[in-house]
Amino acid sequence: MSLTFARSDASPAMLAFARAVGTTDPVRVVGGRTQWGVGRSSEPQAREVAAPSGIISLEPAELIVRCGAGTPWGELDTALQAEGMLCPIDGPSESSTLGGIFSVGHSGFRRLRYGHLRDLLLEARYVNAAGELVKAGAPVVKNVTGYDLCRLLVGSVGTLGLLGEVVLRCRPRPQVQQWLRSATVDPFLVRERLYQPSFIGWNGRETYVCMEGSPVEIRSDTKTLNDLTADWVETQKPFIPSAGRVSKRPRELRSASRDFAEGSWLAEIGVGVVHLQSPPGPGSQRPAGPDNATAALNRKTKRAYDPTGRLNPGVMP
Amino acid sequence: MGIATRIAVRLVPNPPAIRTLLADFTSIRDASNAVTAVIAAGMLPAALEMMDANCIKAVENWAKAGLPLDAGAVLLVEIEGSIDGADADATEITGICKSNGARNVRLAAGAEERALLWKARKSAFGAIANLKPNYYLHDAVVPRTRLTEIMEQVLEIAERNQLMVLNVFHAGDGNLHPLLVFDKREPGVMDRVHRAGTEIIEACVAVGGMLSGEHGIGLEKRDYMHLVFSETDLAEQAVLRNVWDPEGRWNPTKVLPTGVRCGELQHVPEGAWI
Repeated sequence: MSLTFARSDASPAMLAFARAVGTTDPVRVVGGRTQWGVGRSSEPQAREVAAPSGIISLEPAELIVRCGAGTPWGELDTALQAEGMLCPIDGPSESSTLGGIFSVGHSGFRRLRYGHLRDLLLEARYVNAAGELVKAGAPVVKNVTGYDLCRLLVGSVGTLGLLGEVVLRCRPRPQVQQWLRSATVDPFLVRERLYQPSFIGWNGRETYVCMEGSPVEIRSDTKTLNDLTADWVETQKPFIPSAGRVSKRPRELRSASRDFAEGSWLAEIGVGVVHLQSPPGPGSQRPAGPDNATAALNRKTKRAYDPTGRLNPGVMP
Repeated sequence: MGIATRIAVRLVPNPPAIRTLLADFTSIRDASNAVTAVIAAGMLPAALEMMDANCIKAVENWAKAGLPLDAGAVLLVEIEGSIDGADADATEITGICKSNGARNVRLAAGAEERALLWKARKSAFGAIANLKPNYYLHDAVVPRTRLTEIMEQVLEIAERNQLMVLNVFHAGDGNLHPLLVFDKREPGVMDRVHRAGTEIIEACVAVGGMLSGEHGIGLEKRDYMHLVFSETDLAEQAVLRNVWDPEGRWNPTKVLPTGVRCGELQHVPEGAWI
């Protein structure tokens, strides 16, 4: 029986990325610069590197896609659309790169239906602090082989390793996307009654609902909504503020009208995320940091993966 | 890495409608092709489970669920959604199964029939006792488009090693569960079981698969980790483990192969439960 693994599958682009990252000096990885301030800015004197860009393989029969982490989200979405596929990443901007989106780890507006961003990352190839190419995960949709380093990387803001190539889980693209708005409905009742809505947004005055699926499914959902209230109007995706985010237990959103200034927020009902027009200030709305034990584990993890602190110096997850 | 003492999980609402189909095929090949075709058509049923002929016979003998005893394989398909949506999907999947050679596709008439079909599926492992006293289970996962060829290889490997194999598995996820069925009192049989198991793992890895879809690595698959990860990959996993468990107290020797971790334990401490 042969138990020898040979790494013969590293692409020239990944080898070049590893060479660019090198082994000693501080580097900061640059994508679309659309979420540059998350986790504080990295030290500007660090040398800039960029992950490979472009779609490597798109497999409709497997519902997966492999691409360079430097690929802009908009480019991927357009390619997936042409194949009837969807990867519900919903990056903050079309020019946001996949590497940036996964490194920051903020899920898109359709998390209620499709789950957290981390569930989409099936395989990650990255460059570690020693400049080595590492593979985590695999291009299969169900996998518990060893420690799941993909999940460690999502949200680590490029402080543990620099994403170079990703394999993402996709879904069939819904035939219809329908947005409705109501000024009278109880958004929590919508959450209770509607099966698998993609988004329920509430700003204290209006409720926005996004439904996706076949025409048959959308008709069924619309009937459910009409049974709740009569003032639904077709609408577009609402503006989602991005200056700050607060995460609450879903039921705590009932008091959002009292907790946040009018007109300054939009809450994802059923998820618990509140999007704010300005960063949360001091007081009850400032998000709690990790407890001491978790913070100590975070520091130990960073030191273990990046002993000299050369990956995205200055950035904190 | 630690012992969970409290967990929070996300719950989802019950679906308004559930439809359960039993599709009857004359061969595993046709059933595997149907699975691939369902996924390729953009359908994602809540469950897409396969049982092969040996499994059907073992299960039906006990569960009396009306499984076709002359089938080469059956697919148990569960669809969740709105009432209209689930009905539309059931119709489409029935069509895909038929165009891939299904002799018959049965829609469970109600909750009782649905429960009976699932009882048959879930009792597969216990029903093996009707055939032989022992079984050895693998849990490899393969890309879904490679299902047909890997199933043929699994059957060929079992035959070559003179072993009976039952296949009951999560076909929609590409997650195989070949059950090698045997009587360990038979001289030399364990060697053949282990050889066949290794060959199945290697065949799955060769088509881009992984070692485990849901059962984990533990001790038994630990020494196969080199098949799918390089030394660097494994060292990166060991870094994480050492952060959480620097003294190697938690389930020592599990998951990572020997030689990967620093400060590795050379023996299992007395009383350790592994």
